Amino acid sequence: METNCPYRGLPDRAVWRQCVGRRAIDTILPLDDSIAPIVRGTRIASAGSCFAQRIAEHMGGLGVEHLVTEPGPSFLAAPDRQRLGYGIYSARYGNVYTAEQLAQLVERAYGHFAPVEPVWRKGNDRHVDPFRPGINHTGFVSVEECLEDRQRHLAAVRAAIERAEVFVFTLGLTEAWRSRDDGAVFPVCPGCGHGGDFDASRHAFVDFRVDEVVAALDRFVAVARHHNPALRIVLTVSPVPLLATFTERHVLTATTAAKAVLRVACDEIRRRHRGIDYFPSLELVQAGGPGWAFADDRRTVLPRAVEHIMACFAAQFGLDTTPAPGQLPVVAPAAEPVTAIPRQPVACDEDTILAAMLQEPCR
Amino acid sequence: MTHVERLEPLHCLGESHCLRFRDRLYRSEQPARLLHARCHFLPSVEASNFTTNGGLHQDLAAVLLAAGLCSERRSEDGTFVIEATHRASTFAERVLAARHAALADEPLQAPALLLFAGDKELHSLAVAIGPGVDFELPDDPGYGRLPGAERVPYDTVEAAFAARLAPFVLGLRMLHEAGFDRTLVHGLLPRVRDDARNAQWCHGVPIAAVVRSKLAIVGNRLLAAAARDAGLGFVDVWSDLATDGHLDPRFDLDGLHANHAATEASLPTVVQRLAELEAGHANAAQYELQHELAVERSPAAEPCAAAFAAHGFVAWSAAQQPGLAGLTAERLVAGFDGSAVQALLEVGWGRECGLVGLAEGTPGEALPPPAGAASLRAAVYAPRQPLHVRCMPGEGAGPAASLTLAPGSLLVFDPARVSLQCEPPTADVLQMFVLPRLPAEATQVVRLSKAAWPADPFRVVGTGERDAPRIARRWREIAGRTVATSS
Repeated sequence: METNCPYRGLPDRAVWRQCVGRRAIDTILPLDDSIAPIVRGTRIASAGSCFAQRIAEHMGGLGVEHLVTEPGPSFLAAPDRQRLGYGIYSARYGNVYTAEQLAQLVERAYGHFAPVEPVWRKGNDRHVDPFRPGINHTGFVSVEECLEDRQRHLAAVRAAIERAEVFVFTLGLTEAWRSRDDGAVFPVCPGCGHGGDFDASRHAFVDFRVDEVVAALDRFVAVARHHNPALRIVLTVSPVPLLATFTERHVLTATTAAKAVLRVACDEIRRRHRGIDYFPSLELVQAGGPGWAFADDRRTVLPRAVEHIMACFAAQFGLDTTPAPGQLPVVAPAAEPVTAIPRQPVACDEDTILAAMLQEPCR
Repeated sequence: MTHVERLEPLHCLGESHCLRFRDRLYRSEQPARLLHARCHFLPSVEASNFTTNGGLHQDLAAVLLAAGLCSERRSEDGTFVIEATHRASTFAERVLAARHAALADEPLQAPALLLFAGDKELHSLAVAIGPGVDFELPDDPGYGRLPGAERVPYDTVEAAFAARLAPFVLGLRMLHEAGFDRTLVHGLLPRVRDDARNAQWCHGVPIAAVVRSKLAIVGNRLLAAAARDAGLGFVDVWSDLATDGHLDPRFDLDGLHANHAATEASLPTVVQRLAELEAGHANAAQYELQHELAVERSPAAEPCAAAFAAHGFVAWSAAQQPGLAGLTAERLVAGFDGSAVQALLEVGWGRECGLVGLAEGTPGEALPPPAGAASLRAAVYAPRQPLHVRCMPGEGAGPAASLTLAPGSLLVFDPARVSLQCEPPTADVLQMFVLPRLPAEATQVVRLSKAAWPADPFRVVGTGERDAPRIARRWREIAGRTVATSS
């Protein structure tokens, strides 16, 4: 072999056989040396798809502060607050599945965008915010109450953007439904279990391409950094497959395509901006394989996979995994069955959609 | 000595609101009842601790024991358990309870309980929400918004109240499962309009009357739903005591509690709710016990013929239906045509169909075993007084006939061919214990007018139709006390 081959002397991390192949799953640590650590006590805001809930709920065990600017009324007990969508993420925005939804969220919070979509009706006498329809199951008593709470919520979003030192966003989907009037993106399709009525003349399906995802992330970065120039951003891609696709592809193919688009967009946006890191949740699950990472449904991420991902997160950012008193440990006790489903059910709007699909076709 | 009247105990348990009922005697005209309120004020029992560690609050369990409303025994796992007396888990205890009820000339049924809970939780929530905070009430009857107040979403208020009431809601299910199926939940009272007068009950925090009243409505909606879901009753007294959405000053005792005038004003509602709750349930335990007794007496190997012989059925239309001669016994009052009787005999002790009527309040020991009718198409039991019945066969099936059923006798008939009518027609109510004839059918108790026998009791749709109570008990001992847990 030539002595000047550039592959000679590559570090172990660059060679599959050295750092992935035939290694025990919990020893695969795809760390990026260029990423700066996060110091203990850092205020971290979070948003994203269902899987982001798993990341958020583990933050307390990493010695960082999960910033919550919309904690809910103090007269509510913690479990009830969580049930009503408070404290799951930094603000009560529910799941943010797409980059476009995230961009529009901050644009709405700062008055750059005012969607025309009216409040959705749910059942006979309740109403839901079309941009966070899954935050509670009962809905709001009136349109007025919904809009009033939305203003409170958007103020909390601004507070999260401005007070956070790190913003962790988990990209989940490329498919979404949006308004034909102004492009406002909804987390769920209207009329599919979360309220509202689907109107083909006003609502349209969209499957975002790479450039569209990158553009949305660009807009988010621009608005967020305008109000918080020092904000550090960590992106990750949810390893959870699509529950269903509205494209003509097989759901497995659509999942692969979606994750690829999101993954490429993360690399692209990272190249464009300073202070944006990528954390490989998706890769960790893929390396472990479906038998290790997923429950029998091949979709629910098992606790051991989540725990490994969070251990890697801690290692990547130099965080202490020793839990403070009363905090959730990063790694669960060994006695826990490794095939158990997650201890806390994840609030997933897609599940509601699936239930609606099983009951009746979306209108 | 003069026998006056029998008092019907109404056990009022829980928060201090029950105290105004203490040792009061109430007569209601429609329905006619004489209620004696027995008060069990439980200062340590709140809705939020009504159940603890999976069981009823120990003070509540102690009161039920002390009042003789339940019995205590050691369970298989070694813990002490209590259970409603009429629903004792052993056959011997239930027979004993039935005999005691018969000796007292009372139906075998659960005691009437009126529970008071949730008011302390209302105050604690009001204080936690704080002054200057309001919420929008669904179907607001007219309270509107508190001017200048911060508004929190209704779902948060409802969730907070529901969380505080959760132990009580669980306790209601436990009570029902333990056999206390004549239990009413008294609703939260309307709030006084005077904020300063009420502040003493909110730790000095001036919670606006509008907010307090809306909270009370939220609480009542939750309590009503919990009672309904548990198969129990809910007493909403707002229509009796509220004026313009607040406690009528005539009923205000001290800024929170209501006075005796309020009790008098609301008692008809209590009695009405109790009557509604009892519809279909009164004495059901007696029926079930008699069924058990009948099975004990008549083994399955000796089907209908043995039952007929043992209980003395005779054919009303024996002359027209010679095939019935073999079934004739001393107290014959039953009738079928030949094919129906043949079918009857073939069915044996199967779960074909059975219907037994019993006048309300009839002691159990006078009952014939309903199991004797378990394979009959239909049967009517004559209560303690003779029952005059006019039998009207269908077209072409012979002339009508009048019968007088002696007390203790059983009329068996085929409702597809014969209709019955009391003579003279009366609006008195019978309750009938209907055994399932098909696997999907539920055992049920229906209440019917004596003048309107159902052609098919399994198709009866009328007020008061209910499934018979189903009992499932789990009891355990906690901290030396016996408490109930849900199954």
